[in-house]
Amino acid sequence: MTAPLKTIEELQVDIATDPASIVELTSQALSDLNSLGRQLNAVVHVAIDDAIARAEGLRDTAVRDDADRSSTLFGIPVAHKELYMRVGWPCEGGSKTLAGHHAQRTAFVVDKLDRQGAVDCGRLTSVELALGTTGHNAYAGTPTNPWNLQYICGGSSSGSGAVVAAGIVPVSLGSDTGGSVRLPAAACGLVGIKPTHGLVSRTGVIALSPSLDTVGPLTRSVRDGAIVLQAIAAVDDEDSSSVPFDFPDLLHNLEDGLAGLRIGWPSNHFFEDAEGSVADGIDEVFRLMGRLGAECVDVEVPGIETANAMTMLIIAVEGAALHERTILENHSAFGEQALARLLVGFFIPARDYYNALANRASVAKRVLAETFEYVDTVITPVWPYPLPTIEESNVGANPEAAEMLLRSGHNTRAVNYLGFPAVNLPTGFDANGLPTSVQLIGAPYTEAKLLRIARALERELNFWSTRPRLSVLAK
Amino acid sequence: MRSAVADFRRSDIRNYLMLRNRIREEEMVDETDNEHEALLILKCTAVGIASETLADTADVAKRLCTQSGPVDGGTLDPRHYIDYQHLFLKLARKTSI
Repeated sequence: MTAPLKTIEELQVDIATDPASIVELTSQALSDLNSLGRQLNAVVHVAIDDAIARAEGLRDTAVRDDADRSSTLFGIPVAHKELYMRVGWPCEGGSKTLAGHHAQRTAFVVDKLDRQGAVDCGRLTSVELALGTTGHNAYAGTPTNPWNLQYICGGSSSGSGAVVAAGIVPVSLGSDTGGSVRLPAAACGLVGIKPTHGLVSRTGVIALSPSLDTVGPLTRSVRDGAIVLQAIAAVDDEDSSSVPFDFPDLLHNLEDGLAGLRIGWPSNHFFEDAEGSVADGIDEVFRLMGRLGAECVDVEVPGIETANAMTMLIIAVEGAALHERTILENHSAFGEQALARLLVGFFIPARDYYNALANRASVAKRVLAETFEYVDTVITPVWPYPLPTIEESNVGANPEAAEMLLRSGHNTRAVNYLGFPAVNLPTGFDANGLPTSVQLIGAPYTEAKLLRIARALERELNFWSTRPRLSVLAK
Repeated sequence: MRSAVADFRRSDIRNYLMLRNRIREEEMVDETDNEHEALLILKCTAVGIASETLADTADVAKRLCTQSGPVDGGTLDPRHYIDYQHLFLKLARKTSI
Protein backbone atom coordinates (compact mmCIF):
# COMPACT_ATOMS: atom_id res chain seq x y z
CA MET A 1 0.00 0.00 0.00
CA THR A 2 1.11 3.55 -0.65
CA ALA A 3 1.31 6.37 1.90
CA PRO A 4 -1.92 7.20 3.73
CA LEU A 5 -4.05 10.01 2.36
CA LYS A 6 -4.51 13.14 4.41
CA THR A 7 -7.52 13.74 6.58
CA ILE A 8 -9.60 16.91 6.47
CA GLU A 9 -7.85 18.18 9.60
CA GLU A 10 -4.39 17.48 8.17
CA LEU A 11 -5.33 19.34 5.00
CA GLN A 12 -6.56 22.24 7.12
CA VAL A 13 -3.15 22.45 8.79
CA ASP A 14 -1.49 22.56 5.35
CA ILE A 15 -3.87 25.30 4.23
CA ALA A 16 -3.32 27.35 7.38
CA THR A 17 0.44 27.12 6.84
CA ASP A 18 0.29 27.95 3.13
CA PRO A 19 -3.01 29.41 1.84
CA ALA A 20 -1.81 29.08 -1.75
CA SER A 21 -2.12 25.33 -1.30
CA ILE A 22 -5.90 25.72 -1.61
CA VAL A 23 -5.52 26.32 -5.34
CA GLU A 24 -3.01 23.49 -5.70
CA LEU A 25 -5.27 21.13 -3.80
CA THR A 26 -8.26 22.07 -5.93
CA SER A 27 -6.28 21.81 -9.17
CA GLN A 28 -5.11 18.33 -8.21
CA ALA A 29 -8.66 17.23 -7.37
CA LEU A 30 -9.97 18.60 -10.68
CA SER A 31 -7.20 16.94 -12.63
CA ASP A 32 -7.81 13.61 -10.88
CA LEU A 33 -11.57 13.85 -11.39
CA ASN A 34 -10.98 14.45 -15.10
CA SER A 35 -8.54 11.59 -15.54
CA LEU A 36 -8.76 8.90 -12.87
CA GLY A 37 -12.36 9.70 -11.95
CA ARG A 38 -13.53 9.40 -15.54
CA GLN A 39 -11.56 6.19 -16.03
CA LEU A 40 -13.43 4.78 -13.05
CA ASN A 41 -16.73 5.85 -14.74
CA ALA A 42 -17.38 7.80 -11.57
CA VAL A 43 -17.56 11.40 -12.81
CA VAL A 44 -20.28 13.14 -14.81
CA HIS A 45 -19.28 16.80 -14.40
CA VAL A 46 -15.98 18.52 -13.55
CA ALA A 47 -16.50 22.18 -12.65
CA ILE A 48 -13.04 23.45 -13.52
CA ASP A 49 -13.76 27.17 -13.88
CA ASP A 50 -16.13 27.44 -10.92
CA ALA A 51 -13.86 25.46 -8.60
CA ILE A 52 -10.66 27.32 -9.52
CA ALA A 53 -12.42 30.68 -9.08
CA ARG A 54 -13.74 29.55 -5.73
CA ALA A 55 -10.32 28.29 -4.59
CA GLU A 56 -8.62 31.52 -5.66
CA GLY A 57 -11.23 33.52 -3.79
CA LEU A 58 -10.66 31.49 -0.62
CA ARG A 59 -6.90 31.78 -1.01
CA ASP A 60 -7.15 35.55 -1.30
CA THR A 61 -9.37 35.69 1.77
CA ALA A 62 -6.87 33.62 3.74
CA VAL A 63 -3.93 35.72 2.57
CA ARG A 64 -5.75 38.88 3.68
CA ASP A 65 -6.37 37.05 6.97
CA ASP A 66 -10.12 37.58 6.55
CA ALA A 67 -10.86 33.87 6.64
CA ASP A 68 -13.26 32.52 9.21
CA ARG A 69 -11.01 30.17 11.18
CA SER A 70 -14.01 28.28 12.52
CA SER A 71 -14.89 27.07 9.02
CA THR A 72 -14.25 23.36 9.28
CA LEU A 73 -13.94 22.67 5.56
CA PHE A 74 -12.04 25.76 4.48
CA GLY A 75 -10.39 25.03 1.12
CA ILE A 76 -11.30 21.32 1.14
CA PRO A 77 -12.22 19.96 -2.32
CA VAL A 78 -15.48 18.00 -2.46
CA ALA A 79 -17.68 16.44 -5.15
CA HIS A 80 -21.14 14.96 -4.77
CA LYS A 81 -23.57 12.46 -6.22
CA GLU A 82 -25.32 13.83 -9.28
CA LEU A 83 -28.62 14.18 -7.43
CA TYR A 84 -27.27 17.27 -5.64
CA MET A 85 -28.26 20.53 -7.29
CA ARG A 86 -26.12 23.61 -7.80
CA VAL A 87 -27.55 26.45 -9.84
CA GLY A 88 -26.51 26.16 -13.47
CA TRP A 89 -24.70 22.83 -13.11
CA PRO A 90 -25.84 19.70 -14.96
CA CYS A 91 -28.27 17.66 -12.88
CA GLU A 92 -29.41 14.50 -14.63
CA GLY A 93 -29.77 12.13 -11.70
CA GLY A 94 -28.10 9.40 -13.73
CA SER A 95 -31.12 9.23 -16.02
CA LYS A 96 -31.58 9.85 -19.72
CA THR A 97 -35.03 11.17 -18.80
CA LEU A 98 -33.24 14.24 -17.40
CA ALA A 99 -30.66 14.55 -20.19
CA GLY A 100 -29.52 18.13 -20.57
CA HIS A 101 -31.21 19.27 -17.37
CA HIS A 102 -29.47 21.98 -15.37
CA ALA A 103 -30.24 22.77 -11.75
CA GLN A 104 -32.39 25.80 -11.00
CA ARG A 105 -31.36 26.00 -7.36
CA THR A 106 -28.63 24.93 -4.96
CA ALA A 107 -29.22 22.15 -2.45
CA PHE A 108 -29.48 23.21 1.20
CA VAL A 109 -26.59 20.97 2.23
CA VAL A 110 -24.38 22.09 -0.66
CA ASP A 111 -24.92 25.64 0.56
CA LYS A 112 -24.06 24.54 4.11
CA LEU A 113 -20.76 23.10 2.88
CA ASP A 114 -20.08 26.29 0.90
CA ARG A 115 -20.52 28.26 4.11
CA GLN A 116 -17.92 26.05 5.76
CA GLY A 117 -15.45 26.84 2.99
CA ALA A 118 -15.64 23.66 0.88
CA VAL A 119 -14.66 23.84 -2.79
CA ASP A 120 -17.26 22.02 -4.88
CA CYS A 121 -15.45 20.38 -7.80
CA GLY A 122 -18.13 18.42 -9.63
CA ARG A 123 -20.78 15.73 -9.75
CA LEU A 124 -20.41 11.98 -9.54
CA THR A 125 -22.20 9.08 -11.15
CA SER A 126 -25.41 7.80 -9.56
CA VAL A 127 -27.50 4.76 -10.31
CA GLU A 128 -30.45 5.98 -12.37
CA LEU A 129 -32.62 8.12 -10.05
CA ALA A 130 -31.01 6.31 -7.10
CA LEU A 131 -32.96 3.15 -7.97
CA GLY A 132 -30.40 0.43 -7.49
CA THR A 133 -27.79 -1.03 -5.19
CA THR A 134 -25.04 -2.37 -7.44
CA GLY A 135 -24.03 0.75 -9.34
CA HIS A 136 -24.99 -0.41 -12.82
CA ASN A 137 -26.05 2.44 -15.08
CA ALA A 138 -26.23 1.98 -18.84
CA TYR A 139 -26.71 5.71 -19.45
CA ALA A 140 -24.28 7.46 -17.07
CA GLY A 141 -21.77 4.63 -16.77
CA THR A 142 -21.09 1.91 -14.21
CA PRO A 143 -18.34 2.96 -11.80
CA THR A 144 -15.60 0.43 -11.10
CA ASN A 145 -14.27 -0.32 -7.66
CA PRO A 146 -10.82 1.24 -7.03
CA TRP A 147 -9.81 -1.79 -4.94
CA ASN A 148 -10.38 -4.09 -7.91
CA LEU A 149 -11.68 -2.76 -11.20
CA GLN A 150 -13.66 -5.93 -11.97
CA TYR A 151 -15.95 -5.35 -9.01
CA ILE A 152 -18.92 -3.10 -8.36
CA CYS A 153 -18.81 0.04 -6.23
CA GLY A 154 -22.26 -0.59 -4.83
CA GLY A 155 -25.02 1.95 -5.19
CA SER A 156 -26.74 4.07 -5.64
CA SER A 157 -24.02 6.55 -4.59
CA SER A 158 -21.56 4.59 -6.71
CA GLY A 159 -19.46 7.48 -8.06
CA SER A 160 -19.12 8.91 -4.56
CA GLY A 161 -17.74 5.61 -3.30
CA ALA A 162 -15.26 5.27 -6.16
CA VAL A 163 -13.94 8.84 -6.04
CA VAL A 164 -13.41 9.00 -2.27
CA ALA A 165 -11.86 5.53 -2.16
CA ALA A 166 -9.50 6.52 -4.98
CA GLY A 167 -8.34 9.48 -2.90
CA ILE A 168 -9.50 12.15 -5.35
CA VAL A 169 -11.50 14.09 -2.76
CA PRO A 170 -11.78 13.37 0.99
CA VAL A 171 -15.55 13.59 1.11
CA SER A 172 -18.63 13.18 -1.05
CA LEU A 173 -22.30 13.45 -0.20
CA GLY A 174 -24.46 10.52 -1.20
CA SER A 175 -28.13 9.79 -0.64
CA ASP A 176 -29.64 6.82 1.19
CA THR A 177 -33.23 5.65 0.69
CA GLY A 178 -32.64 1.95 1.37
CA GLY A 179 -28.88 1.71 1.80
CA SER A 180 -27.41 3.86 -0.97
CA VAL A 181 -24.75 5.50 1.22
CA ARG A 182 -23.92 2.41 3.29
CA LEU A 183 -23.71 -0.11 0.43
CA PRO A 184 -21.14 1.84 -1.64
CA ALA A 185 -19.28 2.82 1.52
CA ALA A 186 -19.03 -0.87 2.40
CA ALA A 187 -18.03 -1.87 -1.12
CA CYS A 188 -15.33 0.79 -1.34
CA GLY A 189 -13.92 0.65 2.21
CA LEU A 190 -15.32 3.96 3.43
CA VAL A 191 -17.16 5.39 6.39
CA GLY A 192 -20.76 6.02 5.32
CA ILE A 193 -23.29 7.78 7.52
CA LYS A 194 -27.05 7.49 7.14
CA PRO A 195 -28.36 10.11 9.57
CA THR A 196 -31.54 10.10 11.63
CA HIS A 197 -34.77 10.98 9.79
CA GLY A 198 -35.12 14.76 9.67
CA LEU A 199 -31.61 15.61 10.84
CA VAL A 200 -30.20 16.62 7.45
CA SER A 201 -32.20 18.51 4.82
CA ARG A 202 -33.01 16.93 1.45
CA THR A 203 -34.02 20.20 -0.17
CA GLY A 204 -32.42 20.52 -3.59
CA VAL A 205 -31.61 16.82 -3.86
CA ILE A 206 -33.48 14.82 -6.52
CA ALA A 207 -36.00 12.75 -4.57
CA LEU A 208 -36.70 9.05 -4.89
CA SER A 209 -38.99 8.45 -1.92
CA PRO A 210 -39.58 11.52 0.27
CA SER A 211 -40.73 9.40 3.21
CA LEU A 212 -37.43 7.51 3.28
CA ASP A 213 -34.77 9.64 1.58
CA THR A 214 -31.82 10.75 3.67
CA VAL A 215 -28.52 12.34 2.71
CA GLY A 216 -25.16 11.62 4.26
CA PRO A 217 -21.40 11.67 3.71
CA LEU A 218 -18.92 9.08 2.50
CA THR A 219 -15.42 9.65 3.89
CA ARG A 220 -12.26 7.67 4.51
CA SER A 221 -12.17 8.23 8.27
CA VAL A 222 -14.70 8.45 11.08
CA ARG A 223 -13.36 11.84 12.12
CA ASP A 224 -13.87 13.22 8.60
CA GLY A 225 -17.41 11.85 8.60
CA ALA A 226 -18.12 13.55 11.91
CA ILE A 227 -16.81 16.89 10.63
CA VAL A 228 -18.99 16.76 7.52
CA LEU A 229 -22.12 15.60 9.34
CA GLN A 230 -21.62 18.42 11.83
CA ALA A 231 -21.48 20.87 8.93
CA ILE A 232 -24.67 19.72 7.20
CA ALA A 233 -27.03 18.86 10.07
CA ALA A 234 -29.47 21.75 10.46
CA VAL A 235 -33.15 22.62 10.47
CA ASP A 236 -34.61 23.48 7.07
CA ASP A 237 -38.11 24.93 6.85
CA GLU A 238 -38.41 23.76 3.26
CA ASP A 239 -38.03 20.09 4.21
CA SER A 240 -41.17 18.76 5.88
CA SER A 241 -39.21 15.99 7.62
CA SER A 242 -36.80 18.45 9.23
CA VAL A 243 -36.71 18.19 13.03
CA PRO A 244 -35.19 20.85 15.29
CA PHE A 245 -32.40 19.23 17.28
CA ASP A 246 -29.65 20.69 19.42
CA PHE A 247 -26.88 18.78 17.74
CA PRO A 248 -23.90 17.97 19.98
CA ASP A 249 -20.26 18.53 19.07
CA LEU A 250 -19.58 15.23 17.33
CA LEU A 251 -15.83 15.44 17.92
CA HIS A 252 -16.13 16.05 21.66
CA ASN A 253 -16.52 12.42 22.81
CA LEU A 254 -15.22 10.78 19.68
CA GLU A 255 -12.13 9.30 21.35
CA ASP A 256 -13.90 8.06 24.49
CA GLY A 257 -13.79 4.37 23.54
CA LEU A 258 -16.26 1.58 24.21
CA ALA A 259 -16.23 1.34 27.99
CA GLY A 260 -19.72 1.43 29.41
CA LEU A 261 -21.45 0.79 26.08
CA ARG A 262 -23.63 -2.20 25.19
CA ILE A 263 -23.39 -3.76 21.76
CA GLY A 264 -26.26 -5.91 20.45
CA TRP A 265 -25.91 -8.93 18.16
CA PRO A 266 -29.29 -9.29 16.44
CA SER A 267 -30.82 -12.73 16.90
CA ASN A 268 -33.28 -12.26 14.03
CA HIS A 269 -33.28 -11.11 10.39
CA PHE A 270 -29.81 -9.63 9.86
CA PHE A 271 -27.73 -12.80 9.85
CA GLU A 272 -30.39 -15.08 8.36
CA ASP A 273 -29.29 -14.21 4.85
CA ALA A 274 -25.59 -13.64 5.56
CA GLU A 275 -23.05 -15.95 3.99
CA GLY A 276 -20.61 -17.66 6.36
CA SER A 277 -17.55 -15.55 5.63
CA VAL A 278 -19.56 -12.36 6.13
CA ALA A 279 -21.02 -13.49 9.47
CA ASP A 280 -17.60 -14.70 10.65
CA GLY A 281 -16.11 -11.30 9.90
CA ILE A 282 -18.78 -9.50 11.93
CA ASP A 283 -18.35 -11.98 14.76
CA GLU A 284 -14.63 -11.15 14.95
CA VAL A 285 -15.44 -7.45 15.24
CA PHE A 286 -18.11 -8.18 17.87
CA ARG A 287 -15.55 -10.06 19.97
CA LEU A 288 -13.05 -7.25 19.53
CA MET A 289 -15.62 -4.81 20.90
CA GLY A 290 -15.89 -6.98 24.00
CA ARG A 291 -12.13 -6.89 24.45
CA LEU A 292 -12.23 -3.12 24.11
CA GLY A 293 -14.54 -2.84 27.09
CA ALA A 294 -18.05 -2.99 25.64
CA GLU A 295 -20.69 -5.34 27.00
CA CYS A 296 -21.80 -7.63 24.18
CA VAL A 297 -25.30 -9.14 24.28
CA ASP A 298 -27.84 -10.81 22.01
CA VAL A 299 -30.88 -8.74 21.16
CA GLU A 300 -34.00 -8.99 19.01
CA VAL A 301 -35.09 -6.29 16.59
CA PRO A 302 -38.88 -6.75 16.39
CA GLY A 303 -40.84 -6.16 13.22
CA ILE A 304 -37.77 -5.79 11.06
CA GLU A 305 -38.79 -8.34 8.39
CA THR A 306 -42.07 -6.54 7.75
CA ALA A 307 -40.28 -3.20 7.79
CA ASN A 308 -37.95 -4.47 5.07
CA ALA A 309 -40.89 -5.24 2.75
CA MET A 310 -42.67 -2.01 3.62
CA THR A 311 -39.57 -0.03 2.66
CA MET A 312 -39.64 -1.53 -0.83
CA LEU A 313 -43.36 -0.90 -1.06
CA ILE A 314 -43.04 2.77 -0.10
CA ILE A 315 -40.13 3.34 -2.50
CA ALA A 316 -42.13 1.79 -5.35
CA VAL A 317 -45.24 3.88 -4.74
CA GLU A 318 -43.50 7.19 -4.13
CA GLY A 319 -41.06 6.64 -7.00
CA ALA A 320 -43.94 5.85 -9.34
CA ALA A 321 -45.83 8.93 -8.19
CA LEU A 322 -42.80 11.19 -8.69
CA HIS A 323 -42.05 9.84 -12.16
CA GLU A 324 -45.54 8.95 -13.39
CA ARG A 325 -45.65 11.72 -15.93
CA THR A 326 -42.25 10.83 -17.38
CA ILE A 327 -43.16 7.13 -17.50
CA LEU A 328 -46.22 7.94 -19.55
CA GLU A 329 -44.57 10.51 -21.79
CA ASN A 330 -41.08 9.12 -22.28
CA HIS A 331 -40.83 5.60 -20.86
CA SER A 332 -38.23 4.45 -23.38
CA ALA A 333 -35.73 6.91 -21.89
CA PHE A 334 -35.67 4.94 -18.63
CA GLY A 335 -33.25 2.09 -18.15
CA GLU A 336 -34.95 -1.28 -18.04
CA GLN A 337 -34.34 -1.83 -14.33
CA ALA A 338 -35.42 1.62 -13.22
CA LEU A 339 -38.63 1.41 -15.25
CA ALA A 340 -39.47 -2.03 -13.91
CA ARG A 341 -38.99 -0.88 -10.31
CA LEU A 342 -41.05 2.27 -10.81
CA LEU A 343 -43.92 0.44 -12.49
CA VAL A 344 -44.37 -1.75 -9.41
CA GLY A 345 -45.77 1.29 -7.66
CA PHE A 346 -48.72 1.43 -10.10
CA PHE A 347 -49.93 -1.94 -8.86
CA ILE A 348 -49.83 -1.33 -5.13
CA PRO A 349 -53.24 -0.47 -3.67
CA ALA A 350 -53.50 2.80 -1.77
CA ARG A 351 -54.56 0.99 1.39
CA ASP A 352 -51.29 -1.01 1.47
CA TYR A 353 -49.23 2.15 1.01
CA TYR A 354 -51.17 3.91 3.72
CA ASN A 355 -50.80 0.89 5.97
CA ALA A 356 -47.02 0.94 5.51
CA LEU A 357 -46.83 4.59 6.51
CA ALA A 358 -49.36 4.33 9.31
CA ASN A 359 -47.47 1.48 10.97
CA ARG A 360 -44.16 3.33 10.92
CA ALA A 361 -44.43 4.99 14.32
CA SER A 362 -45.55 1.84 16.10
CA VAL A 363 -42.74 -0.27 14.59
CA ALA A 364 -40.17 2.40 15.50
CA LYS A 365 -41.50 2.66 19.07
CA ARG A 366 -41.37 -1.11 19.45
CA VAL A 367 -37.75 -1.27 18.30
CA LEU A 368 -36.88 1.55 20.68
CA ALA A 369 -38.54 -0.22 23.59
CA GLU A 370 -37.45 -3.78 22.88
CA THR A 371 -34.00 -3.21 21.38
CA PHE A 372 -32.46 0.18 22.06
CA GLU A 373 -33.67 0.23 25.65
CA TYR A 374 -31.04 -2.47 26.18
CA VAL A 375 -28.21 -1.68 23.77
CA ASP A 376 -26.45 1.38 22.38
CA THR A 377 -25.99 -0.11 18.92
CA VAL A 378 -26.86 -3.19 16.91
CA ILE A 379 -24.04 -4.61 14.80
CA THR A 380 -24.91 -6.15 11.43
CA PRO A 381 -23.47 -6.83 8.00
CA VAL A 382 -24.15 -4.38 5.18
CA TRP A 383 -23.75 -6.69 2.18
CA PRO A 384 -25.04 -10.18 3.06
CA TYR A 385 -22.59 -11.79 0.64
CA PRO A 386 -19.04 -11.11 -0.61
CA LEU A 387 -19.02 -8.27 -3.12
CA PRO A 388 -19.87 -9.46 -6.67
CA THR A 389 -18.14 -8.45 -9.88
CA ILE A 390 -19.80 -6.04 -12.30
CA GLU A 391 -20.58 -8.93 -14.62
CA GLU A 392 -21.96 -11.23 -11.91
CA SER A 393 -24.41 -8.57 -10.74
CA ASN A 394 -25.51 -7.43 -14.20
CA VAL A 395 -29.19 -8.34 -14.49
CA GLY A 396 -29.03 -8.32 -18.26
CA ALA A 397 -26.15 -10.82 -18.38
CA ASN A 398 -26.71 -13.06 -15.36
CA PRO A 399 -30.13 -14.61 -14.56
CA GLU A 400 -29.17 -14.92 -10.89
CA ALA A 401 -28.41 -11.22 -10.60
CA ALA A 402 -32.04 -10.26 -9.94
CA GLU A 403 -32.09 -12.34 -6.78
CA MET A 404 -28.69 -10.91 -5.82
CA LEU A 405 -30.10 -7.40 -6.19
CA LEU A 406 -33.08 -8.17 -3.99
CA ARG A 407 -30.83 -9.58 -1.27
CA SER A 408 -28.38 -6.68 -1.40
CA GLY A 409 -30.55 -4.35 0.67
CA HIS A 410 -31.63 -6.98 3.19
CA ASN A 411 -29.68 -5.36 6.04
CA THR A 412 -30.06 -1.71 5.14
CA ARG A 413 -33.60 -1.00 3.89
CA ALA A 414 -35.50 -1.40 7.12
CA VAL A 415 -33.27 1.19 8.81
CA ASN A 416 -34.76 3.81 6.48
CA TYR A 417 -38.27 2.68 7.37
CA LEU A 418 -37.46 3.11 11.05
CA GLY A 419 -35.73 6.44 10.36
CA PHE A 420 -32.85 5.49 12.65
CA PRO A 421 -29.18 6.39 12.07
CA ALA A 422 -26.57 3.91 10.89
CA VAL A 423 -22.86 4.00 10.14
CA ASN A 424 -20.84 1.75 7.86
CA LEU A 425 -17.31 1.15 9.08
CA PRO A 426 -14.67 -0.68 7.01
CA THR A 427 -12.97 -3.43 8.98
CA GLY A 428 -10.53 -5.26 6.70
CA PHE A 429 -10.38 -7.27 3.49
CA ASP A 430 -12.06 -10.42 2.24
CA ALA A 431 -10.53 -13.32 0.34
CA ASN A 432 -10.78 -11.34 -2.91
CA GLY A 433 -8.89 -8.38 -1.44
CA LEU A 434 -12.04 -6.27 -1.25
CA PRO A 435 -13.12 -4.27 1.80
CA THR A 436 -15.22 -5.82 4.56
CA SER A 437 -17.30 -3.77 6.95
CA VAL A 438 -19.87 -3.61 9.72
CA GLN A 439 -23.07 -1.61 10.05
CA LEU A 440 -23.76 0.06 13.40
CA ILE A 441 -27.42 0.95 13.87
CA GLY A 442 -28.51 3.26 16.68
CA ALA A 443 -31.54 4.96 18.18
CA PRO A 444 -32.57 8.34 16.72
CA TYR A 445 -30.13 11.21 17.29
CA THR A 446 -27.36 8.99 18.65
CA GLU A 447 -24.96 9.74 15.79
CA ALA A 448 -22.34 10.95 18.30
CA LYS A 449 -22.44 7.61 20.08
CA LEU A 450 -22.34 5.59 16.84
CA LEU A 451 -19.35 7.59 15.62
CA ARG A 452 -17.62 7.13 18.98
CA ILE A 453 -18.08 3.36 18.65
CA ALA A 454 -16.91 3.42 15.05
CA ARG A 455 -13.86 5.47 16.00
CA ALA A 456 -12.90 3.01 18.75
CA LEU A 457 -12.92 0.21 16.18
CA GLU A 458 -11.16 2.32 13.58
CA ARG A 459 -8.29 2.96 15.99
CA GLU A 460 -7.81 -0.78 16.39
CA LEU A 461 -8.39 -1.87 12.82
CA ASN A 462 -6.67 1.11 11.17
CA PHE A 463 -8.31 0.40 7.82
CA TRP A 464 -8.49 4.02 6.80
CA SER A 465 -4.76 4.46 6.39
CA THR A 466 -4.68 1.96 3.52
CA ARG A 467 -5.58 2.91 -0.02
CA PRO A 468 -6.15 1.08 -3.29
CA ARG A 469 -3.34 0.48 -5.71
CA LEU A 470 -4.31 2.41 -8.78
CA SER A 471 -1.16 2.03 -10.80
CA VAL A 472 -3.15 0.31 -13.53
CA LEU A 473 -4.80 3.64 -14.19
CA ALA A 474 -2.95 6.76 -15.23
CA LYS A 475 -3.03 9.26 -12.41
CA MET B 1 -50.04 12.71 -23.09
CA ARG B 2 -53.55 13.61 -24.08
CA SER B 3 -52.86 12.53 -27.67
CA ALA B 4 -51.33 9.23 -26.56
CA VAL B 5 -54.44 8.32 -24.60
CA ALA B 6 -56.68 9.41 -27.43
CA ASP B 7 -54.79 7.26 -29.90
CA PHE B 8 -55.55 3.88 -28.38
CA ARG B 9 -55.33 1.14 -30.89
CA ARG B 10 -57.52 -1.89 -30.76
CA SER B 11 -54.51 -4.07 -29.86
CA ASP B 12 -53.65 -1.83 -26.95
CA ILE B 13 -57.09 -2.29 -25.50
CA ARG B 14 -56.95 -6.04 -26.10
CA ASN B 15 -53.57 -6.24 -24.30
CA TYR B 16 -54.93 -4.19 -21.47
CA LEU B 17 -57.99 -6.39 -21.05
CA MET B 18 -55.84 -9.53 -21.04
CA LEU B 19 -53.63 -8.06 -18.37
CA ARG B 20 -56.58 -6.97 -16.30
CA ASN B 21 -58.08 -10.44 -16.48
CA ARG B 22 -54.84 -11.98 -15.34
CA ILE B 23 -54.60 -9.62 -12.40
CA ARG B 24 -58.21 -10.30 -11.41
CA GLU B 25 -57.64 -14.04 -11.59
CA GLU B 26 -54.79 -13.67 -9.14
CA GLU B 27 -56.99 -11.55 -6.90
CA MET B 28 -54.36 -8.88 -6.99
CA VAL B 29 -56.72 -5.95 -6.94
CA ASP B 30 -60.20 -5.53 -5.57
CA GLU B 31 -62.81 -3.32 -7.15
CA THR B 32 -62.38 -0.43 -4.74
CA ASP B 33 -58.77 0.18 -5.81
CA ASN B 34 -59.28 -0.14 -9.52
CA GLU B 35 -60.11 3.20 -11.03
CA HIS B 36 -56.83 5.12 -10.93
CA GLU B 37 -54.69 2.05 -11.42
CA ALA B 38 -56.76 0.88 -14.37
CA LEU B 39 -56.36 4.24 -16.04
CA LEU B 40 -52.59 4.13 -15.49
CA ILE B 41 -52.30 0.64 -16.95
CA LEU B 42 -54.37 1.70 -19.91
CA LYS B 43 -52.07 4.65 -20.45
CA CYS B 44 -48.98 2.44 -20.04
CA THR B 45 -50.11 0.02 -22.70
CA ALA B 46 -51.09 2.91 -24.93
CA VAL B 47 -47.60 4.39 -24.80
CA GLY B 48 -46.02 1.05 -25.64
CA ILE B 49 -44.95 -0.52 -22.34
CA ALA B 50 -45.13 -4.26 -22.89
CA SER B 51 -47.92 -6.23 -21.24
CA GLU B 52 -45.34 -8.75 -20.03
CA THR B 53 -43.45 -6.00 -18.22
CA LEU B 54 -46.63 -4.81 -16.57
CA ALA B 55 -47.58 -8.35 -15.59
CA ASP B 56 -44.14 -8.95 -14.06
CA THR B 57 -44.28 -5.74 -12.06
CA ALA B 58 -47.79 -6.64 -10.90
CA ASP B 59 -46.36 -9.89 -9.56
CA VAL B 60 -43.66 -8.02 -7.65
CA ALA B 61 -46.26 -5.64 -6.23
CA LYS B 62 -48.40 -8.53 -5.10
CA ARG B 63 -45.42 -10.12 -3.34
CA LEU B 64 -44.54 -6.87 -1.60
CA CYS B 65 -48.11 -6.39 -0.37
CA THR B 66 -48.14 -9.93 1.00
CA GLN B 67 -44.78 -9.54 2.72
CA SER B 68 -45.85 -6.23 4.23
CA GLY B 69 -48.53 -8.06 6.16
CA PRO B 70 -52.29 -7.79 6.20
CA VAL B 71 -53.90 -4.39 6.34
CA ASP B 72 -54.75 -3.65 9.93
CA GLY B 73 -57.93 -1.60 10.10
CA GLY B 74 -56.78 -0.23 13.43
CA THR B 75 -53.92 1.60 11.78
CA LEU B 76 -56.20 3.39 9.34
CA ASP B 77 -56.45 6.27 11.71
CA PRO B 78 -54.93 9.56 10.56
CA ARG B 79 -53.22 10.01 13.90
CA HIS B 80 -50.90 7.09 13.18
CA TYR B 81 -49.35 8.93 10.26
CA ILE B 82 -48.73 12.07 12.26
CA ASP B 83 -47.37 9.95 15.10
CA TYR B 84 -44.18 9.24 13.20
CA GLN B 85 -43.09 12.87 12.87
CA HIS B 86 -44.24 13.51 16.45
CA LEU B 87 -42.10 10.62 17.66
CA PHE B 88 -38.99 12.23 16.19
CA LEU B 89 -39.88 15.67 17.51
CA LYS B 90 -40.29 14.16 20.97
CA LEU B 91 -37.05 12.18 20.74
CA ALA B 92 -35.14 15.22 19.50
CA ARG B 93 -36.30 17.19 22.55
CA LYS B 94 -35.39 14.56 25.09
CA THR B 95 -32.20 13.10 23.58
CA SER B 96 -29.04 14.28 25.25
CA ILE B 97 -25.64 12.93 24.43
